[in-house]
Amino acid sequence: MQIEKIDDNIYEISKQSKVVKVHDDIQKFDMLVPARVYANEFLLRKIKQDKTLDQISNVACLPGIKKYAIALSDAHQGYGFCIGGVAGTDLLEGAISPGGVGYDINCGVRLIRTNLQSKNIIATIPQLINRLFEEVPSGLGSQGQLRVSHSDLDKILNTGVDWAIQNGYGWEEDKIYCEENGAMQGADSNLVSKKAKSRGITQIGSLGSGNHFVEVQKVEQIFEPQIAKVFGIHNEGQVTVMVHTGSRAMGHQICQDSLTEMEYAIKKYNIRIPDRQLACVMGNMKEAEDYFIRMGAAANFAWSNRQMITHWVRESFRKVFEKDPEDMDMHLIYDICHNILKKEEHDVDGKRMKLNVHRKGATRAFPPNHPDVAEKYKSVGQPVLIPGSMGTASYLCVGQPKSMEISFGSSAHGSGRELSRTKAMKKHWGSEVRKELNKMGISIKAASDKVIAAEAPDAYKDIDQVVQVSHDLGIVKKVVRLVPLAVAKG
Amino acid sequence: MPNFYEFKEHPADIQVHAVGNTLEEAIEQVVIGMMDIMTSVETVDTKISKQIKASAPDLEMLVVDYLTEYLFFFDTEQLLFSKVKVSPIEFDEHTQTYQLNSVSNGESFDSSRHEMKTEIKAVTYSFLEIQQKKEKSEIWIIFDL
Repeated sequence: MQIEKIDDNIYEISKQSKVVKVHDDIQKFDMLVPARVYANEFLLRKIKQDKTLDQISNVACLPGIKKYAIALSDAHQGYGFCIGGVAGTDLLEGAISPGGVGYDINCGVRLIRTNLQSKNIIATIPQLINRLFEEVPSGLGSQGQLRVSHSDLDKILNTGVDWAIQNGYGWEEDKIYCEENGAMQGADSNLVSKKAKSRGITQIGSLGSGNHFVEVQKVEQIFEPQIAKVFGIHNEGQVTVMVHTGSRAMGHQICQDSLTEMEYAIKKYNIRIPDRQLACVMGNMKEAEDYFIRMGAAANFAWSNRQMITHWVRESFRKVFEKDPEDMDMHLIYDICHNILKKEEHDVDGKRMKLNVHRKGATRAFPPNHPDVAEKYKSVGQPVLIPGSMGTASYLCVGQPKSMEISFGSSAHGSGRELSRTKAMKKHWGSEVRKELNKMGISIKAASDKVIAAEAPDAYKDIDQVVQVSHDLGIVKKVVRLVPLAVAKG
Repeated sequence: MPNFYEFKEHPADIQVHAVGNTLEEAIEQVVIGMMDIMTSVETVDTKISKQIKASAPDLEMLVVDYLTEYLFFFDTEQLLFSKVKVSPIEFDEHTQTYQLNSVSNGESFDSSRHEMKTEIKAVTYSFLEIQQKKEKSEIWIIFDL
């Protein structure tokens, strides 16, 4: 597909017709808007190596899509949507597509600060990471250490982070530092299938496997000291903890159930789509409403999950350092979702409109003074957490005004894969990757050596470049660069 | 020709290509491939037997739904499988759906004996292809990891 540079870091595929094989038919689809890629030349070359451009131009065919379909600087091929994709559609006449959120609904990241200094805890790191690995179950089939009842599960699905906090797994203030205050309004567990509930019930408070992790980090560089101060980050060497996980099998099954429902719906309403994985209905249809309610329940499960993991992170620090987490200043800086659908207001062709904003591997990046930014952060903008791969840096940024203009208030969400898992596993032995990381001063504790190999740092795009593009575009502003000290993962 | 499965390159996830003399045999191969993503399938014993079934209006949905059942049994009962026999798929005129029945043998996941590979999040429709020919059926399917 022809892609043209229209400005620094901005590339565009113009509106055109696409010929696509659907089942045994050859069908024609029209892109309703252009597709845009936000990347530098180097990252664009990587993005061109897989089917990202094809997928994002398919997304541009979705009914009611506005402005442009967007692939961010970390984009890579996904299923239906590319990962690192954003699509805003008309609230009522536009598409709602479960594929635009993905299976791991409300997969997200949170960052917890401490007042510890890395130089003072280096000797304790192995003990700390072992403790974290024990307290936060990870890996294939990992189950949380807590068994919740069915009625508690319903409360988790309906109220999100509130349930966890009310039951002693967090501090009252944690809630205000979560996107949406840690709960999607209108979520209803009654619409969640029994199958999803039985798959998810044992998994609350567990990491899962793949690229999910708990990471102990240190502040390596502060770009904006005044803003960093608002987040309680004062100096280089300060220790932070990052958690990356989602809604586990609860979300996976809710997505699967919804896709099945969409399959019937597209036949019923005769909706044409270029890729089965993009199955969708219009915002004003019953199936869309049901999906939004169910997706909210899965999102709430994810928030509760990260909240409980946060509790066990604090408890691990308490045990290892024999201090109260309060005395170690272990406040939550922020919690963001990077697989989610939101109903948000945006400007489209000079008109304020409510849209269905799909973020598939994209992080909300609202600028200063946006009404949805937590009160305490209003003057600086919403914290945007962009983790790197295992062994590489992560960034704490803030949303900037340009995001509202060009990306529906969204930024890249991570470094994005470059090498397939199979290739990474062929290229590396887990034990060697572990040794390399140890040499760099990073401890790693993982349930599986295979996962270590699949997640080797060079399997991902360069995080510094990915973030720099968002920064240069004015979508985010870099505030702090964090580097890992120790990683626990599945 | 013998039935088999293989893993294909995919940028983020994993694609299984399965080949069988019949569609049913190709589906059996996908299941074994799927188990091989999660653990070393050859270490999984066959002491437990389960009837696993699915029904759907088309073959793609049938395969996706059927494979998702295995994720359900893993998450709820920690069951892994290493032997699968799929009965001939039938089309029910009354409900206008394909019916798939199978008997699968396996055992409970035991982290001391079964290698922990990667968790499968989901079975996707992405680039899903099912080819049925006279003497050979093939399936290409991507799993979200």
